[in-house]
Amino acid sequence: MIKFESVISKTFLILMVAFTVLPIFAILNLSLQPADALSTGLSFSWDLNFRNYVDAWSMGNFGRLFINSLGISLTIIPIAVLFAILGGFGFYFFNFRNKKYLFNFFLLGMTLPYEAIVIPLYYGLNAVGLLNTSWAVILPLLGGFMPFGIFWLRSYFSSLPNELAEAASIDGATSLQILMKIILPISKSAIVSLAIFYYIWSWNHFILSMILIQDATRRTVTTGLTAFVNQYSQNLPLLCAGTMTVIAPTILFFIVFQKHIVKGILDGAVK
Amino acid sequence: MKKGRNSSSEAILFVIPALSLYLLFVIAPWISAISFSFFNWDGIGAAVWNGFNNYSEVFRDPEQINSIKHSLVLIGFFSVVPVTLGLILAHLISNLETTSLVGRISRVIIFLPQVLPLIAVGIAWKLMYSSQGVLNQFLENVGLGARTRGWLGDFYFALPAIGFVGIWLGTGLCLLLFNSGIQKIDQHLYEAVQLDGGGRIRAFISVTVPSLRPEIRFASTITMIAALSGFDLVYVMTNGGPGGATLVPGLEVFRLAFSYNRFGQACALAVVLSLITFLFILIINRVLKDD
Repeated sequence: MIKFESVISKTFLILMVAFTVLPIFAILNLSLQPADALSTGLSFSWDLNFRNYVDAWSMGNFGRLFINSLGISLTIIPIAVLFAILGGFGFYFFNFRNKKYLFNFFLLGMTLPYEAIVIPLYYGLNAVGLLNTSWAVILPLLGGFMPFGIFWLRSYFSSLPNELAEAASIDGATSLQILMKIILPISKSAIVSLAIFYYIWSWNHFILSMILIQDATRRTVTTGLTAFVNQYSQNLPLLCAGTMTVIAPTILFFIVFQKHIVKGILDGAVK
Repeated sequence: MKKGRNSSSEAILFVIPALSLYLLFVIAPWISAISFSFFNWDGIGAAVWNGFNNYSEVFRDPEQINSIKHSLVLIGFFSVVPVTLGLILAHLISNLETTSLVGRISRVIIFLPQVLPLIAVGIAWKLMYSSQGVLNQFLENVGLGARTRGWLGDFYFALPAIGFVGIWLGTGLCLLLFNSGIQKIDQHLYEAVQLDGGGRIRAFISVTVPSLRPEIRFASTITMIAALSGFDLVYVMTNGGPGGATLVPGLEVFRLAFSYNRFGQACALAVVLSLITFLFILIINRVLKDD
């Protein structure tokens, strides 16, 4: 009986895995077909054609797009992580008037869709001359990333044993010393997870860069890919190669950090 | 920490950097969207006060009200189905050792859709649905050749087809969340059900589902937020077509503003969208509250 049930379990799991990889496998497969391939179905041949990747890379100007997106992510991550640490610690360590309201005010931000603020952002950023620059995406994402970061780190800090911070507090350590010397060293994994989330969200982000950066040379990978796909909609292997080019680094990154990402989400879920 | 320091002035120093970014780039634009929403404005000329007319127009204009209806349909696909399926699947595989190599590798693969850009996901599924695509190829092979069509060009099937991508996106995540939650359930609860003569279905309803309340709340919240934004997928897969059959509020906000130059109207719909999102999240978190 037990053996039979575990066979059923494994079958379900394998079906789920197959269902998940199917669309990704389909574009990977198509991206390796000759440029004039018409079928978008699954027909595999060993006659692999890497030419599409070379063409896509230069025709889609993906080098430029990668630099733009990397610049945006690498600006966002340190600032967002630093401010989230300070804010999360502030909410964890101090008691102050209206603390609960201020915290809920931050939580509200997690439900606000970017679609709801993009029009005023367009006019606001235009007025200060930041439209069509990387800052048009960096600044709103920084603001939008604060609620989750504060929520995430405050929950993590609250799950730590109290004694250490209390002892240091009695010894007369300043709050900044307690954060730097006691809290941070034991919170590395939560901070790394947060940085990874920020990287994935900023790298994958679309709507802000689509509306706020019209200049083709300043586009991000996602908006650049969309433009590329629209331009070469007839050449399916080429557009699949472009798509694979954009998702390959993410998949690689995911494989390297999968422990942090999967565990981070699964553990964070119940806090 | 129970006895935090009582120092408002010091606390503010820690919170202010995050607060100022949040106020400047999220809350201020949102308040400005609310104030825009009471005006008629074409983006160039003078804005004209319009009272609540833009809001009544949201519910009168077929294009806008339909976009809201579509997003409610998408909640079913993105959130209700994955949470339900995830619960059932997690219960079915609960006896499987997920720390085994197969289990660990499957976990990573099933999680993969969460980290891919939705734009790329949309491109891949658009090809799956194309007339020569994998779905039609599959239908032909199982003898349902007569049912093939260009799915995203079909007025009735385009929205469910996009919804199905939501199932693809959400089910794996829910399965993993619930699977890790099930590992933490006290086995005695299941034994008690068995002693009472209850089977797997009884165990599912009276032990698994109630014990997973925090996970269900989390899964419902994030899948619902995904369903209600939905801009990226729709933009790249159908751009709202055919004949407006897949218009969602996010895309309609964009069209009202930048295609029709009706900025006040766009902001009214944006405000309605954010209120709907907030309301749904509030309800979910109230209904599934721990107690």
